[in-house]
Amino acid sequence: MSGFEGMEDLLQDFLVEAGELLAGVDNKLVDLEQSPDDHGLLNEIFRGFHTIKGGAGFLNATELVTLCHLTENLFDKLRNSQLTLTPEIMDVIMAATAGVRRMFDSLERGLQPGAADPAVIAALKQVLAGEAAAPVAVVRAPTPAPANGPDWNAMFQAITATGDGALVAAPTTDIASAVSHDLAGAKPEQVIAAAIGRRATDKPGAAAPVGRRDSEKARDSSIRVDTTRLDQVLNLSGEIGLTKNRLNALRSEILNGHTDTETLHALDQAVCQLDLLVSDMQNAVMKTRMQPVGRLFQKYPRIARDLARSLGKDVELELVGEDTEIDKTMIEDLGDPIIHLIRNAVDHGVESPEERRAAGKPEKSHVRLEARQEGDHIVILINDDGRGMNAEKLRGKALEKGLITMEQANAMDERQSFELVMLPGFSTKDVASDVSGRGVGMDVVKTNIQKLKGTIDIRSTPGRGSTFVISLPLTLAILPVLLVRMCGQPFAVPLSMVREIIPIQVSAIQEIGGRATMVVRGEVMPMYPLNHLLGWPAEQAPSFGVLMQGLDQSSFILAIDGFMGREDAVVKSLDDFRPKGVSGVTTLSNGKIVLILDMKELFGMTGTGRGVPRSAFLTSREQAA
Amino acid sequence: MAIDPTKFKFLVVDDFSTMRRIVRNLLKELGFTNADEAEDGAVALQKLKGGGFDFVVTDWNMPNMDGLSLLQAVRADPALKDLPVLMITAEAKRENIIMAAQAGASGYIVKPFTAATLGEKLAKIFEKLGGAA
Repeated sequence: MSGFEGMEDLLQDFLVEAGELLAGVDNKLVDLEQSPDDHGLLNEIFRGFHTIKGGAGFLNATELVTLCHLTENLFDKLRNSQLTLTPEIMDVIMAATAGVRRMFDSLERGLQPGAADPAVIAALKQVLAGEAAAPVAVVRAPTPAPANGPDWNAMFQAITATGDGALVAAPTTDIASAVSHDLAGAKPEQVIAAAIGRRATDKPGAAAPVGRRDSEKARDSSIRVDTTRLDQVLNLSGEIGLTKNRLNALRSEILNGHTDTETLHALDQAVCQLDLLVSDMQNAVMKTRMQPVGRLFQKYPRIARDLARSLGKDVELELVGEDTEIDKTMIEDLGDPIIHLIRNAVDHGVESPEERRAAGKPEKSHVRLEARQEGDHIVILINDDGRGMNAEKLRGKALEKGLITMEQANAMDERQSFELVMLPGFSTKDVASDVSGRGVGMDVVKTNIQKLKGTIDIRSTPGRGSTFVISLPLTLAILPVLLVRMCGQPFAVPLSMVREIIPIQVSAIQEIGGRATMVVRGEVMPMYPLNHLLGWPAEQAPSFGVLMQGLDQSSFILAIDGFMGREDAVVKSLDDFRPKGVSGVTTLSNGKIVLILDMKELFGMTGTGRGVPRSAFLTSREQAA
Repeated sequence: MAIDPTKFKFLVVDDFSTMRRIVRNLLKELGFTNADEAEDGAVALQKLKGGGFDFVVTDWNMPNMDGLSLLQAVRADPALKDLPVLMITAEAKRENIIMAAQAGASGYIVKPFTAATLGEKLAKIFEKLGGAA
């Protein structure tokens, strides 16, 4: 598009907006299967393709225009009752939608999309011509190849061809006959010309973005923010500026010797105000990063539907709490784990219709994906009404695979047994189905959630279903920490792991197998002095214990000299120089720098198995006694 | 009375924000910098009734209220009936053009178009306006 400025930005805008539109269309298609005569739905889907086509025209994405145009025509006929929706037509539509998505993928890489799968185009045209759809087998399993590699041949043609060469589909002989069945009998070139309102002599793709690699990641690094939120930030930054001026004025007054109570009171007020404003500002800035989780959720009903169909199951995916807002980076990183959990629920969780009937359940199974905010956490829940998990079976499986020992198996409660499914190498199905074999196992799901400082919890009742509960902090930018003191130095530990702080009474410490332990409300917990984990010699016997719960749900007591309170730490990562066991640093209110400990890594360094003897908690006098 | 179209205030109506941006960019290229947006016919009508607009560029196919209904509503409103309305659509179908013309569209443009095409269409409409004034 010669003389058209801002093409890169436009492309990104288009992709974001059209992507949402397509996801919406996908969901409506799932609904449409339930109510094929819903004119409202047909109209909305029609408009979706129509709008994408319009935008694609401006981007010179000829192939996308062609595909959308044909699909749109199909919906035009459906909504005008010139055609009736059959499962075969539905499959053609699904394949066309998949084709549109692949074209978006290539646009995202800055490449003009290659021609759509000729079989899909042919099938669309056949349906339009009122014939039975082309062999649907092709359509059921859309070839993924074009998504991965650009069609260089087609691209070459697209940039070198003149006018009527725009159609780079290069129809093969077997579909040529299908093309000739085209309703109007028009040549494909005419179809396109009509669709995009372009003279045949125009040069398509003359200034098309070919191989603009640097825009590859542009979509990830930009964010759409509601203007009212941005205004709030602007407003607050102005207020902070005013308070800063006030402080400046007060400073010069104080430097000039005015230290009367009135001045000091004014200073106190100004600082209080700044305190309030800054925390408001932090919240407001954080909110600009928050996005409704619905944008992530909306692609799942289609995935669940396709999967359920291929497995011969009837599954309804219910979405709850789509308005819940999550940090944008988290939304991106949550995509794959949730897909996996949904696949898991549909594949392993729910039973086949026959099994369900035999168990006296409704044939249609129900999977619920829910998001909600609980305090300073976001909870995401994937629940199915399937067969549930059998703790005994899981333990047996893990034993058989040598993932746990008999001793461990016997000591496990139900919840720990469920968590076995997240061990690397654990799969309850002997034959890995092609469904769950996407390279993302449950162990990866767990790792990904942990990377986001979240936890995953499994609940299950045999015969009733399973629930996976993901719990995530609201944001990754601010980490609430507990400040502890060891050997005179402060350290910060993530508050999310801290359950309580208890004084250490030497008399309550018992030695089990050479390891110091303490019984807290009937639970035996190992004790680890922090200096021991750091590899420092003990200066004095630690007097406090921080009861912590690790990511693997096991509890332990971190023994420390004292604690200094809690703080909202702004984590600065140590990129180039990062000692093991330290996840980052933060600045305290008094200006001092403090290390934030990564407990998991600390344990990895020393090995939790060893522990320390009881004597480590005795003062030198007690030891002598 | 001589008119100066560069001072015109445009209302760009489309449910697809990328498209609104495209149209605004093209208008800017032609020197028309004063433009507002509306995401469907209903919102547009609300804004138009508020006054201050000199020109409407609207998409045809939109939810809630489509471009044709908007055009009909504008022509039926005594305060707005003389407002120039340029219809944008992806269809070059004859019956569509006839429908738009019958409803009183000032012009009709098919997607995708360039700044030059848009300029031509606008110039034609301005000519008529000047003649009438």
